[in-house]
Amino acid sequence: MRPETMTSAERFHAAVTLQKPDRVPVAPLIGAFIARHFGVVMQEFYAKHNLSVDLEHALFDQVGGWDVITMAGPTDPITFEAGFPVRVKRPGRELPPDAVIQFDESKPAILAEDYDLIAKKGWNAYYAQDLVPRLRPEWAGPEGGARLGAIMGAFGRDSMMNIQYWKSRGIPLLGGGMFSHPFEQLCWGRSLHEFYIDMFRMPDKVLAAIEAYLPEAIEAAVGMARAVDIPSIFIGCARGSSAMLRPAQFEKFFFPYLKKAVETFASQGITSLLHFDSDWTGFLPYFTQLPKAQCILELDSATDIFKAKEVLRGHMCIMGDVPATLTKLGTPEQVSTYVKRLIDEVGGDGGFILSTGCDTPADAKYENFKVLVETGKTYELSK
Amino acid sequence: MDNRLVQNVADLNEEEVLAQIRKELAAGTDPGAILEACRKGMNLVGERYEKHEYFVADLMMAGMIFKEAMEILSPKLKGMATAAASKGTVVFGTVAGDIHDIGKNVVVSMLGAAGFDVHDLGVDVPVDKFVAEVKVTGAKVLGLSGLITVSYDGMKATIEALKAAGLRDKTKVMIGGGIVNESVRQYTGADAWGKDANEAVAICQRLMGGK
Repeated sequence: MRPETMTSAERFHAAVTLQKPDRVPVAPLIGAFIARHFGVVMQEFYAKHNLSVDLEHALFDQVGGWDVITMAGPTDPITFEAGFPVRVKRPGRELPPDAVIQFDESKPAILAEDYDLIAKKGWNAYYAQDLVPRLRPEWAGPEGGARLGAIMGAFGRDSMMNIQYWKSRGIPLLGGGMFSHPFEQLCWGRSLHEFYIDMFRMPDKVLAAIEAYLPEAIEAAVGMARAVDIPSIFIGCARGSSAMLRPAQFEKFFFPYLKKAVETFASQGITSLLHFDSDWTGFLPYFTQLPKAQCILELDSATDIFKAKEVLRGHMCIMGDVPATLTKLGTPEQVSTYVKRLIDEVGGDGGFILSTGCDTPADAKYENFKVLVETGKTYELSK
Repeated sequence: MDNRLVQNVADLNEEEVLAQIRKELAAGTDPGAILEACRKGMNLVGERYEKHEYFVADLMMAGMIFKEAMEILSPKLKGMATAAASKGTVVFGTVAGDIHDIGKNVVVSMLGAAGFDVHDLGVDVPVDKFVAEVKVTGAKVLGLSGLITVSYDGMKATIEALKAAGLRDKTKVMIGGGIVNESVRQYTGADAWGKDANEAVAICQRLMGGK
């Protein structure tokens, strides 16, 4: 086997800038899988920052390491509870102690009449004054705000410690900030069903709310990335996909706002990590309008990643997409075969980062996870 | 009654559909015929989805229009022998351990529009509840939905419980949701899997026919 000739940071940089690294960078997303692997009950894993961080490091070393960490920090659902307009079901609270967290959209948090409020006062004021009292009354008002501030302070401090840890090991980090696309946020808050119906019934109100929200969402994302000194922003989307929307709806409600955000980030030297779950195959040509070599399109296996490469070759780095079903139900041989195909067909001329399709599921098999990382690190160097 | 109602349903013209139904009822048109026109419109929606002219958001809007139409028509249809006769009973739900209902709701709505009598048990449905409902209703088809990988185990357990209750031979099971594929069908022991609502309707029609 040939030796590696690049560091993880060089390898990652080469991939993002569409060059061919010595081998494909490997960057699996891990969260709840860590807990199940080490036999820790999910409730405890989410509650103890030191534990989730230590186990993340332990898993990393157990498989001999990989190249990139995405969204470094303790695995704590507080990140969703504090900024996501949807009810979060936690293990040990609404769910059995060893369940993974789930989002509950059964009762919309945002009401149809709220679009006007958001358009008038902006998202941040609406969120604090109207949504938090309704969704999470324990954090409303000055006292509630102080409570949340203390929780987020602890989370921020522990995240920074973990970020410093990875930096000291020379591991590049992805996702310093997080951009909440207004379309996705409003859709989660309204519930997917109600939001899609609103697109038909009250398109102007929906658009006005999106317009008002956008500048604040961009500012918040840049602020986060700057605060932790990681020049990349995580953009998680699933509901504006080509499985869900017609092209005309995508052009009206989704794409212009994504483009504006990504262009703003790129102008400040910040890479956008487009963590796009669901099937975006039909909208891939639009992504050629985004700044060249300044985005990573991370796919979860619902989008045709081979088609994505064909459309975006020479324009955008692709990341993904070993399916969650394969890591749970497949054999190591099947995982290895799929990883090799990804490396050959998507990674062949560079501009590719090997990853899991979305997150590694909690109930994935360890031997499958291990072979994913090992094949990613050795296949090209062994050829 | 002319063809406009069918077209308005297919074109997702909500207000026109509801106004037209009220007008037809006032004019004494057979509610069964109105329902049939709505169903024809829904069939066109399914065809447009198949041709990639419509997408999930359109299916949801169509489902909403059909639901509203049924709210107006149902009281008038009571006791009438019409085309509204059920095409068979389906028990449906998201399995234990999973609370995702978006995909399930779209499928339930399309199955209803296709004429099936759907018993939607909701989300995070315990194994025993599925079995009891199949027993009570005599449903020929059981639909199991799930988005996260944990749901595969819930599907498997439900199908095993159906077997233990002696109902597996009489009940066909279809699964779907998120990243379900053939490997999940094999793992769970289901009879069929579908990738979207249109496939679910086609599979259900096939399974009802005992195939």
